Amino acid sequence: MSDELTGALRELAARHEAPPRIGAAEVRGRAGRRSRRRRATAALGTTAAAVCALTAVAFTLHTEEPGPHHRTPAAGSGTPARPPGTAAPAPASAGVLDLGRRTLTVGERVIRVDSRSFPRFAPGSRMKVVAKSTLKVLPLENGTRAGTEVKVPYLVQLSAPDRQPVYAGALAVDTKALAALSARSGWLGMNVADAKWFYARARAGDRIEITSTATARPATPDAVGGGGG
Amino acid sequence: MTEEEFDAFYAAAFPRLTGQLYVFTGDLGEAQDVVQEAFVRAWDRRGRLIADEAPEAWVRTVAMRLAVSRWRRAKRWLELVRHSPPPETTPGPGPDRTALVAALRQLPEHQRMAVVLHHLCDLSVEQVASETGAPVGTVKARLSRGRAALARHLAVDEADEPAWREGGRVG
Repeated sequence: MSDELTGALRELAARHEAPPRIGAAEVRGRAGRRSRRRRATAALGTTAAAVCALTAVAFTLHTEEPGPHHRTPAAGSGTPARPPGTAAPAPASAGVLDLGRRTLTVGERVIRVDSRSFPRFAPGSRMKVVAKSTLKVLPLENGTRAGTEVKVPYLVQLSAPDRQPVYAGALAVDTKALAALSARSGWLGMNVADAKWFYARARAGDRIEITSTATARPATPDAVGGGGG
Repeated sequence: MTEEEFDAFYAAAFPRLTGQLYVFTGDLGEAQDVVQEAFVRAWDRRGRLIADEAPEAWVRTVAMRLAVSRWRRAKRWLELVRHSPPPETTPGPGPDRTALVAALRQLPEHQRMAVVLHHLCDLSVEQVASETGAPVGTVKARLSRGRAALARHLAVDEADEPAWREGGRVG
């Protein structure tokens, strides 16, 4: 049986011998190109590893001065200053919400905000940016016009200390409806220019510190409108 | 190995290796692909091919391993598509449906490789063991089981169309 099998296999193989589809020169060319790619990839990997190592060292040493884009709360915002050289216990905050002054300070910009939600926020806690939307439709569930919706441009969604959502956006439409919302709703209103700026600046994960330099009191819709530079 | 030597080796060995890989894979296009890829890799290590003094065996081994890798990738892909594993004894597709090829396809890949290397490529049991990395006893068992399975499959097929008779002819 072995001889028969060998004969059958050889006959089958012989009948299916086929000439090369490409020439030997092309085979050699492919091998050469592949070899060059491997060498280039290896060199690139070595360079990338070196750059990563240098970057890690640079970030560890903190050898440079804070640049103009370094995000620090503005002076007078009420944030307690951290002694120099002290290790940060938590990620640096991107902004400060001052309940007493009704301002949101991000970088050097001080934004007037309106909200009936201030009683919900405890000074010393913080919120976190979780999402953004250029235009979002929010349902009005707690107001006098329950069941209706409002379109909010430049909306930034934050997560409050109690994990409830807080929406920061422009008071462009339905201002009266928003003003009628109860204190339980998470809402930070600002004018359109400020909302657009904050929308562009905010990044998911950014933290907003909550402080109070005076007794927080409910805001009125008239308080909105004066955006800082 | 110079360019001229490689070109001559490629022209002479490619058809023969394609035929052998066809028996192994059951698919001519697949056989040409893996043999061609093996030659590309051979040129990359041409310096060592001369030292091995068996460049054709090296190319054949690489081509067979490439074929096995392709089968396994294809099997995994099929598993993903079907959400259930395909039968173990039905490797890749192919247009030819001769009885011997169909019977070979039903062999597990280890048995098929042992049968092809021993009965077609004239490798001894020890050489097959060396190439496949399996003990000699395992190779003998694979050859025995492979031959038995082939005979069994072909005996069933003979009822429809005689494929492999006493004279060793393939129908």
